[in-house]
Amino acid sequence: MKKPERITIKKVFDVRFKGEPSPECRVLPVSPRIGVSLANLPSIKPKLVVAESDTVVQGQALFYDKTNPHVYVHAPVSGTVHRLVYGPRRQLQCIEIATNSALPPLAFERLLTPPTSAADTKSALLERGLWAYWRQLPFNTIPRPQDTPPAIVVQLANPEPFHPRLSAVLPRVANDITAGLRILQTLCPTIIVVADANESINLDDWSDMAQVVRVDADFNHCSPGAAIYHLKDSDTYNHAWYCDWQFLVKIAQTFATGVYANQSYITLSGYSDTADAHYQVTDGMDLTTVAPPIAKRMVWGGLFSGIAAAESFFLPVGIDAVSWVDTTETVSLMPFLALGAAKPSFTRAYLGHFLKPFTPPSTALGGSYRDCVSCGHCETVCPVHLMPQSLLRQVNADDTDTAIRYGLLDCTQCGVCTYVCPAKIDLSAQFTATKDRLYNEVNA
Amino acid sequence: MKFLYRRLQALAPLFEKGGRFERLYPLYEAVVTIHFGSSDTTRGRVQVRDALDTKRFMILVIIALIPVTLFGIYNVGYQFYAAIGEPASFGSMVMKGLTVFMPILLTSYAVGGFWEVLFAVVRKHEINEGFLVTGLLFPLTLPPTIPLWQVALGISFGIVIGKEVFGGTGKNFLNPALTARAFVYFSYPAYLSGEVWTAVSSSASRLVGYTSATPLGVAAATAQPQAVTDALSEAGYTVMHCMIGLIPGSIGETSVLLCLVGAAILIVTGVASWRTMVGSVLGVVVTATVLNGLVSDTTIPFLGMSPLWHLVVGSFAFGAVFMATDPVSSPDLKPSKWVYGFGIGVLTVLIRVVNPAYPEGVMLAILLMNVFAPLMDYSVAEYRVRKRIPNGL
Repeated sequence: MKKPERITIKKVFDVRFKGEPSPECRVLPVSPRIGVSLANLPSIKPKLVVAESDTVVQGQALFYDKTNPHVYVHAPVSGTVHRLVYGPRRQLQCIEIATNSALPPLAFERLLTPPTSAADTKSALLERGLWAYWRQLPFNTIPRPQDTPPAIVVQLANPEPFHPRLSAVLPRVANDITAGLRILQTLCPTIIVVADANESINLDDWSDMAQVVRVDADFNHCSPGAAIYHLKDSDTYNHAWYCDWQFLVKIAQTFATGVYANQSYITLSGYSDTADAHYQVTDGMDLTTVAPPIAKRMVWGGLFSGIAAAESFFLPVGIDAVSWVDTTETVSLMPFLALGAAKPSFTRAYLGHFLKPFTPPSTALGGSYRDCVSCGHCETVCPVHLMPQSLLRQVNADDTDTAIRYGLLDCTQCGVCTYVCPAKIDLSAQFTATKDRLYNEVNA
Repeated sequence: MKFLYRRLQALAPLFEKGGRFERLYPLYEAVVTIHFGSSDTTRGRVQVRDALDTKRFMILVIIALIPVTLFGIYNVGYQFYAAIGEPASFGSMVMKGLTVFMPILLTSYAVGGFWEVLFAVVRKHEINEGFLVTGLLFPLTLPPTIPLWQVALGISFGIVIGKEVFGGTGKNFLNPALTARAFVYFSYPAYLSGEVWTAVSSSASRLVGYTSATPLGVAAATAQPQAVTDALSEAGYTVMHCMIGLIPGSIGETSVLLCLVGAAILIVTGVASWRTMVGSVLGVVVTATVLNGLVSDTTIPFLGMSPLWHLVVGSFAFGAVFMATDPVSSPDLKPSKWVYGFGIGVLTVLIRVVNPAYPEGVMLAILLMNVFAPLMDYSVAEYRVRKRIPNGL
């Protein structure tokens, strides 16, 4: 692993949107109903261990993954299983729990010092239902407990717009992050902490526990996949594990208190000037209690890699940002002839590139679907130096071997190539689909 | 305007899947989006998109072409009145230019548009804005004396064989406008070479003893012991003349200065690659300098034409700025753009100087390099892939 203190990346993607949530952090009470939504749990095949109208307590197992039978997901609150929501082909989508805070949480053994061996740490994490927060490259799946991570990347900043800033909540969580890093140290000697160089956080406390890298933040370069790409010196690190700082806080608190930690920090953005802020919430929170539905598209996660939420308003496991994106249709005559001072654009084709109009994000496609015209914009923004247009050709031709050789598995699925494409091709979606197919083939 | 938009939107079910005019959907889509842009919203995980689309992309090329087009129209009239030896006002020169150019342009758009729509409907793809550029570029490369039926045939070949049989804009490996011109050039050579560059019939020009040889024609015809520069100045051409462009030639190619204006627009807006343009200039300069060094008493005088002259005569500037930079038919990757541009410069000079049958080599140089573009991309991509740390299964 290369050991720079700072990575500066030449590729620039500097489109900024209006609507950054305020750094103020508010604490929300637990909502009367909680939903454990699987929308953001990739590759998990759930097998329920509770039934409708069962009583569950905070920290009790709800279901496990059939492919990894030791990986359980636990209930964030105590209460009664109110409803099981199934999607197409009877796929479990959400477990709704009617909250009952009178029930005491499940008590685990308190671990005041980190476990002494990797095996102990793993079994402690598995027992406490914290394993499902891990992710592994290159498929962004939940790693198998029996594997040993070649490296662990801890993400201190999510570079996508409107994600929680660690600086907003640092005083509350700094000690937990330190404790969490101690626990990770037992799992793997190579721990990389990736921070945004533009965010002023004192990282000195952690620099003797892990390799701390500040990324001079061009968009999306401090994602774990991009960090590994720029730091790796051999292919061993391709299967690195990663997590964000919230996971460290969660494991540190659960280990120290013996109670399943159910608090997360999230941001709301694009909802209203008064509501856009940081929030400390209970996992699986029913968001309609703070933000009733409005005529905007509600997005779980980032603007570039989020999920458009359809009906459910329960915060999915592992989602830390909720955005509402404007869907208003604007009609103007021959919009492509405009000077475009108010149009945010990565390319110089509109004046907005130079003036940086700083407009709120919108769901407008901004054009029609066309074939690739080889403009090369995707190549200029890719954080892992792929040639997306060439890669897309291999993917379309179903030449997976060449696609892999061209770096398909390095793709971090950040969505920036899709954002800039003037032919409106969803490159990122095609790469993701191919990667998912590959994962299923390999693990069939 | 909103009313019109709503009316158009109300018609949509007729053209969508299962509607009565389902087959004509590409035409409907084109009509709506050319007037109001697209009203689609994002799908999938990327919730926001850039404002740039292919319409903007192509319209910027057309905007960059406006100066050379307007000047071309004026120059057609100017050359006409110069040839018949009559003084004329600016207005009548422009009028003459319009009467010559507009029929060519309209033929090109009408016939080209017909093929584009036909293929879009039959092959079920959208009508691509790219044909608006092709339909304008092609007339600008033609002499004002071109018969309209040849314009129609040329643009048909360019759109159908140069583009649509491969699947439309984005799938073509040759520049459609140049494919069209090459077709006319090789099918009807008499109409694209010799004394065709002024909008008067050759009998009329003989009346006043006027010769309409282009600078390249003069240079190619120079015989030992005369030097090319002397022959050119004898014919009344200076570098400044060629820069400004009030000289005979293809309609849009003559003004190097306005091609530079177009280049500036394309580069500032990021539509065309400056690497291709600079690469082709370098190619011309290097090749011409080398050839200048080979000049002796036995070589043809054309070999001694200086790099500067090579850059300002003929359609080099027009080709390098507007034709070579077509993103679809040029290579994708930045290093290959340099090689591609350089190759165009080298071939342009070689074809001009070494092969006396073709005094102008830009068209052939670009088409030839178009063919090699995928190979360049492949080589660069393979080189880059070798440097990556592999990430396999």
